[in-house]
Amino acid sequence: MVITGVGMITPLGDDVDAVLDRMIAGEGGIGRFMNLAQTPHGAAIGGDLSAYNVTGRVAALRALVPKDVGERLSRLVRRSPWSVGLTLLVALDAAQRAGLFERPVPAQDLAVIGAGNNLGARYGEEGFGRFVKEPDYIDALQAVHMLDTNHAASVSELLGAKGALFTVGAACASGNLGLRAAVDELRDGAAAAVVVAPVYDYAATTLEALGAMGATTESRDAAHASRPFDAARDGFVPAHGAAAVIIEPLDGALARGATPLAELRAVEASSDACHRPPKPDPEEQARLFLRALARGGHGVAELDLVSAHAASTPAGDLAEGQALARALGDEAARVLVNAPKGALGHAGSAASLIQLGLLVAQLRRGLTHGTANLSAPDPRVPLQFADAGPRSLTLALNNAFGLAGLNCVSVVRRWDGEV
Amino acid sequence: MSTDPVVVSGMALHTPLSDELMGNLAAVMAGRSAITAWRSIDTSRIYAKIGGDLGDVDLNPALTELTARLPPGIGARLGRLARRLPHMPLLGLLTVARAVLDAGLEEAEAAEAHVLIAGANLSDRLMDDGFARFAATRSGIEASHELYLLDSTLAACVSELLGSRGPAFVINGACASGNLALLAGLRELRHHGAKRVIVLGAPSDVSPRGLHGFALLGALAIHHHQDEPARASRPWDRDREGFVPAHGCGVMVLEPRSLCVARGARAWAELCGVGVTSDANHLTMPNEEGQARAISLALQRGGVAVEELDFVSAHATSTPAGDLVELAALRAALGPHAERVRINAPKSMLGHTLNASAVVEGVLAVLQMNADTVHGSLNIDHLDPGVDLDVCASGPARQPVRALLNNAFGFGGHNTTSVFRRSA
Repeated sequence: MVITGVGMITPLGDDVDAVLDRMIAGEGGIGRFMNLAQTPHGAAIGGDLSAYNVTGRVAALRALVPKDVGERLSRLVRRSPWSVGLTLLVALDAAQRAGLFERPVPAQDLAVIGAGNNLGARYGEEGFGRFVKEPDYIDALQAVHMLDTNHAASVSELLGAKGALFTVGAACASGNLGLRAAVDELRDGAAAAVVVAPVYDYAATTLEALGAMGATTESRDAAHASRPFDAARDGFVPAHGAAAVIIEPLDGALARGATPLAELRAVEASSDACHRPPKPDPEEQARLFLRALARGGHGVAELDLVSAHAASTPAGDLAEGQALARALGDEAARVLVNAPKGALGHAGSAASLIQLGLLVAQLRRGLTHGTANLSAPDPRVPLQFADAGPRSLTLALNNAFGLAGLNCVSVVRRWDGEV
Repeated sequence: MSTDPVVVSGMALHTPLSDELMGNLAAVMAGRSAITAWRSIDTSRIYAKIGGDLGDVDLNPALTELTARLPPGIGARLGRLARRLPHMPLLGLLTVARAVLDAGLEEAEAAEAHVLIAGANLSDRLMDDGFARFAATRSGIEASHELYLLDSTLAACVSELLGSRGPAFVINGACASGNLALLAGLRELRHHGAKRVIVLGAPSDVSPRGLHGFALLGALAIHHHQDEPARASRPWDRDREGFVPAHGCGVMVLEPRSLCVARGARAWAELCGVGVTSDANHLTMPNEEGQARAISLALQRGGVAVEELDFVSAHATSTPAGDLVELAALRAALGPHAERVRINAPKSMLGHTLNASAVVEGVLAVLQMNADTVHGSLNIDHLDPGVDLDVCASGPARQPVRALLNNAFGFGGHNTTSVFRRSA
């Protein structure tokens, strides 16, 4: 299976190569959420997209796609909740880059798979406020708009896709899980799949709840709060972010004249069989890494880069670091590790699809980004952290671990043009 | 890829009619309705007043009984989980426990299961209660609020119950979620080496606001029969108005037939295939072409000939447009054979169990197949003149069933059908 298109919207931009360039330049995307009030225990900082220029992006994309698609984009964005608008933009970007308009696959063989659960908390919070005042003031389309699966359904309308349509979720492992479902869909006959991971639309109550859980940072220093694997980390920095990826079988992609960007070699999932206390399990994670590599036909000796889940939480980063050290063994001194959440914050269910997009760019360009704010690595995590700069890269692992012990990792390989 | 047929080796069902398989079957054969005035939901400010209510059922007796009957490790974990979980997720977990017993799974066998939750946005009431507390006091959000708000946590809890470290996730497509989970279940067995899969059609803890959203969409029965709730859900009746939402949940255990046989367990049915299509329309208009394509795809994938079908458990939600579109889709997909199948509407008695519906109704359909009897469609006092197929308007009927369709169509252009066959 190959990846033929990647779209993303992050606080560092909406073009994957530009995002990578800014990360390599050491820029960070953390500020504060402009659409949410401060709560007593909630994070004071965040990676914000609420001020993102949606109409400008609509206009830019309309210039690149067929007229009818552009008209549907404008109509759907105008009538949809904010976060669905971003979903539509990111999916259209990926589809356009994959050449799905010039060289389409049959509509009934194009699948759309959403990745994420409980996505619309802020939409819900606002709607609840209206409901309390007067029930009839709520959005008349609330019953549609509050469903997680409305994101994927809206993308299916935008692209005219009539194949399989569904949404999968495993908290912060959802992005990778969407890739896994897409591979299955392609195995069972779909010609191409759009995997879209919407913005996790944090509500004020969500931030308060995550703060009450002790999961998010207490820092107010936006530039330095997200510090994966650093000894001084104290919790994750919530962030907006969305991504979409087009996946298709290699032969189908080549037959329709698409350019493979990278190969998706394997996606594997597991769980910790323990929902509470949420305590990541390094042994289970290590087993999963090795199983994913093996399923892709690879071993640790071939691995060049790990894009870590590392969200800057004390327990999570430690568990992942220990799991990587265990799985990599002697190769831990060679295999590079970086963690994009240092620069981008934690985009929740979308994080692992954003990471995948960044990995595709890193593999293609032979460049790694570093890990923002990793100035004094946790001494209990004996890993080789990547600096920003050129590298020879072939094979990468993309980690994602969701709240309550839901794990999913993907393995991606540079496309070298050889069939 | 394994070509071993996939069978349903365990089932469970909890609806307002019963928490036992045969209790549910007997109730629908007797034409009993699950619909009452809502007791557990404050409907004072909304139009929706009736539904299938499990919000106030006491789960303690079942918890005690099941804990004693389950393999000891699973029973102990159920007890521990029960102290933590909100009511609806616990109801789901108890139903999983019943399915484990029905399948006769040993501790180690349960631990091999992959876990699929059919549904999304399951905890609207918990979410809205959190919004209310926080808006009123700027506090009151406990540390576990977000954990139990996430649908994915229910997947993690089922994994914990079973002691399984296999993949666990939620899959959904509005009211078609159950069939999507069955499709994902087939894929776990065929592509991911699962030995067995637990599919939980999860109960939706609907909130007053959620119910009001359905009402504003014009989707609910809110005007007629409100003082006779049992008569409000009336698929294919001339005077149908909209659907009636309901609590309810169902579970299927899927397993390759060889493993089921090797354990000496009963196979309730073979799950042959699931068809899934999209209408490329994110709103709520039913579409004959998309539905027909899902039905044909399911039959083709399942290797089931149209002529093998004897029974269709219809999606039929009691909406003016949807009920007839579905019949047209059946005619389009099945051709003249559509006139030779029995079609019934479980929602006429159960109401619409939303996310759970395709699993709940799938379980009920398999029970009917095993009983060589199909239930009637309740409340057809005046058959819609547009109905030209056998919709079981006159009550239950003896009907040997070789293969059946289980339809589910969801908001957002989600069309799904699962095909089951009598297990060889």
